[in-house]
Amino acid sequence: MTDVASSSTSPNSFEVETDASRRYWHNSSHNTLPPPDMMGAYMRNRPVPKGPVEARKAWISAAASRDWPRLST
Amino acid sequence: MIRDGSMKGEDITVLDTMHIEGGSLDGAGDPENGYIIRGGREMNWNYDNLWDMFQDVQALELPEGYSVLDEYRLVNDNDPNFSKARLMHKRGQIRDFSTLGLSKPQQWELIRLLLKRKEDLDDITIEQYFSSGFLETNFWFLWRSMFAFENWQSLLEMKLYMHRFLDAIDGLTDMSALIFPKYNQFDSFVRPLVTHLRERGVKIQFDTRVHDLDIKVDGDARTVTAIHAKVGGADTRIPVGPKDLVFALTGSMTEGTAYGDMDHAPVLARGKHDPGEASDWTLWTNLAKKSPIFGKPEKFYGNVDKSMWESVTLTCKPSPFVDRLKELSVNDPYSGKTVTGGIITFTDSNWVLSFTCNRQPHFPTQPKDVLVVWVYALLMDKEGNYVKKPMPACTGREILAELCYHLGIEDKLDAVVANTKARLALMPYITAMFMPRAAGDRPHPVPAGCTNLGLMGQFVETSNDIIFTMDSSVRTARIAVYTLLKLPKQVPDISPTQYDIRTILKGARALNNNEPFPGERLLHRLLDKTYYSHILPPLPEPDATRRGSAERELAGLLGKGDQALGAIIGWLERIRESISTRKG
Repeated sequence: MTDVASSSTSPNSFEVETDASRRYWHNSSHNTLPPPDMMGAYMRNRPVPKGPVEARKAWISAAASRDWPRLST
Repeated sequence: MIRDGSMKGEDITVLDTMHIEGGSLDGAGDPENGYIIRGGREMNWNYDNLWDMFQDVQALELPEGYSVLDEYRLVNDNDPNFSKARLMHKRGQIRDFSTLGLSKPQQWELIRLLLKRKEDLDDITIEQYFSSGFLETNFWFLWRSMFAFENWQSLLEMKLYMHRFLDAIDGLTDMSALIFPKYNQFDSFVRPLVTHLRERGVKIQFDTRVHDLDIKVDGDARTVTAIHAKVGGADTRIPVGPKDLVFALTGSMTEGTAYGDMDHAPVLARGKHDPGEASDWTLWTNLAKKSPIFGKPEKFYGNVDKSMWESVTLTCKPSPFVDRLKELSVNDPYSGKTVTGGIITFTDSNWVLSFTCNRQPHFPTQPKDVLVVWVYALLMDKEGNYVKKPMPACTGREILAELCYHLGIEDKLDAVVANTKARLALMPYITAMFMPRAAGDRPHPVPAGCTNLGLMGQFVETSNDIIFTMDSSVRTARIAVYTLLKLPKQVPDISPTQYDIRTILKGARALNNNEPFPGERLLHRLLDKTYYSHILPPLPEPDATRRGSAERELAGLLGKGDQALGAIIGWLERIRESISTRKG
């Protein structure tokens, strides 16, 4: 079984928000990722986390209206 | 069928001629007897059908929930693929492969092919269309060796490959457009997929060669009513109900493979023009006798001398060959990273010999001091440069000698042989799918009128896709499944990258040997200060000289002294100024 965490060596500068308009993109020996605006099944991967997430919490602040009317059924 | 068609796995049975799953996607052996892979997989990002399927197949070496696609990306996102010795010649020298090496007329030969209609290319061969000079260029050595095209094969298929991989043309020279699996094709794809299917109840029945189908014809409708097979050598009839489904492979690239080793050359058992009754071509042949809707299999299997080549798998302990391999690799071969980054081709080899060392280990159980290397050649009727025999007549020892000669280490052959095992696979139909063809030679995934028969694999017709990829294999099966199950789901046509102006521009630059293509400097004058400036490849000359370069380019296009020249340049400059000037 592969050690998932240590297997992930993606650079810290990994660009999550891609920008196809920033530069000329072409195939080169430095590329490992598809073109920034490519859409396809290859982009539907489930990335391997770089570190453990078990002890991490997340809060989502939502701005819902308390008095939003309920629809009667 | 299971994922999109909601069929139960237990209702599905795979009938397999062999005694192991995977068909041509093979990989076997051990370090003592030597490993063997008849072929390998070079892939790209937009194999959309393949990734669509393998995104849902559990990877065997990752925790639950991670797919084969996840594993593929984990490996490739962190390990760029490229070659530093893609072409070699003169017994060990790297040949300059930095450009495609095409003259202007040769570039036009390719562009004209792209412009041609598919319908106009029936039964035309590559060598009938291209000039002899074209067939000696870097481009052709890169292309023919990467995709295994022979000069006498289908121009139409080559055209389809050009469209399918137009986005990869600028990564053709150093193979930076490619991605590779973690292991060999069997361990990377077949084992996870078979595990996935068995867990869902799918049955696999070995030693079962289907050779005919009973088909009931009712008006225009054709319905399979029975399967005829040899099961363990015994004639067997499997009844098929009107609501049952039959999916069948027409033909096989690896049918009739003959094997050899260090001391034995392979011996073909198939006829040169007729594979015989006990072959994986029989089903298609029998279908074709029933109706022209099933195509003409003989056009593909009927000339073994034109469809055959041989591969060799080397199991290597440290030797002078491994030392030479290290010099030609982009990473240490034992590092687990990309090694040669794809095949290395000897352009002055009479056999057009190539070899590659993919990421190691190539087999999960491979010892750390062992490397697995794959060798193949395209021309089977020529004597070697060192061994004066055609490749199919050679033992593994002799093929090693030829390889060492082209690497310039033939004086160390004894040390190489002592530490290397070779397993040979001579495949009479390995490029049968590329043989010249015309409309109607291949059946459609669901031939006209068929109510419960789908055809899959390398010998069926698709709208625009190529053959000899795992992606197209999955595509043909998807089309057949969705059609016969009447699923309202589209199978996407090939990736649209060929229509992307950026693909066309960078492709044009690559075809022009990485020099600005005719008109490119004018486009720069028009677009350099606009939103679209990034779609053009950067120019080699400094900013200050670009206007002059553009003027010279235009003069070259229109002819010196043309009175329109000044007007056009002035027009371009006014557009540039108007775009770059702020309002107000």
